[in-house]
Amino acid sequence: MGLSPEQAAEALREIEETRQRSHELGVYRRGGPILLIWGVIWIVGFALSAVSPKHATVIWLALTLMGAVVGWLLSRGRGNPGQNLRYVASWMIFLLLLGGSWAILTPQTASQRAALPALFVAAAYAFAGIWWWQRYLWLGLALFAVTLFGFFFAPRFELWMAAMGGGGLILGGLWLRAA
Amino acid sequence: MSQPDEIIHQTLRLKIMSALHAQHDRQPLEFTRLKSIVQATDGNLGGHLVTLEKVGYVAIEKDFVGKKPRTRIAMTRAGRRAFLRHVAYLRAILDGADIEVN
Repeated sequence: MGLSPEQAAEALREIEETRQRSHELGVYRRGGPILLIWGVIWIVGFALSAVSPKHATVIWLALTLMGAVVGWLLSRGRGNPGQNLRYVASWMIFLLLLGGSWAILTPQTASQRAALPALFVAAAYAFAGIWWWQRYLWLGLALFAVTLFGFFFAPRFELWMAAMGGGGLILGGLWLRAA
Repeated sequence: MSQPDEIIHQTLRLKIMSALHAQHDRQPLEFTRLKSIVQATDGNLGGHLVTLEKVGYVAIEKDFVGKKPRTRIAMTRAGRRAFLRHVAYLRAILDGADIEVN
């Protein structure tokens, strides 16, 4: 029995779709634990910032560095060889964007300083979801909603972000890991 | 080669073989994860895996992680060769190579 070109094309499409789905689920499985770690970091960071606003910058620098290193350790050695380089490059671009925006916009209040990075994180997840891995889009949109709602309506924004932002990231991490 | 691999060509088995082939470093896939990738039911997936195992295209390993049973599936060398041959056959049809097409 031979196959028609249409049947062959359909079979090759199935193969490619399965390959892409396998890759996407692999990304979710690897991304889940990283998101769980960031959820904990957000809870600790926002809670400590609420308690000691003077030390917020040092707290966040230390926690961000820790999160970046742990994320790198969890993701290294998997995927293609260029992955580590892209991970570092993505962080550089993110910090450049955040630093540049910070310098230009100079947020005045503690809530503004807390909201700006959270919105950038939400945007990064949303873009990743639009282009590659759909579940990140929902995570990004949820973070946007939580951050904007908390900024305008929550009486204690940092505590709101610790609970809803950090808690949301943990739930998101579990959701990704279960994919 | 002028014939497709009849074992692999069945839709779900083709997906199973594609998923296993896509594994980084030829790592085995857990049954639950394979099920998510190929979007099949337990029974359906299990039946097709038995077919693939019988012809030596996959190896199924069962063990325990703590008290939890775990089933892992890996593509064998024979399976990899058969899969690549089948893909080459499909591509050759599209390329209009010297293959009999119905």
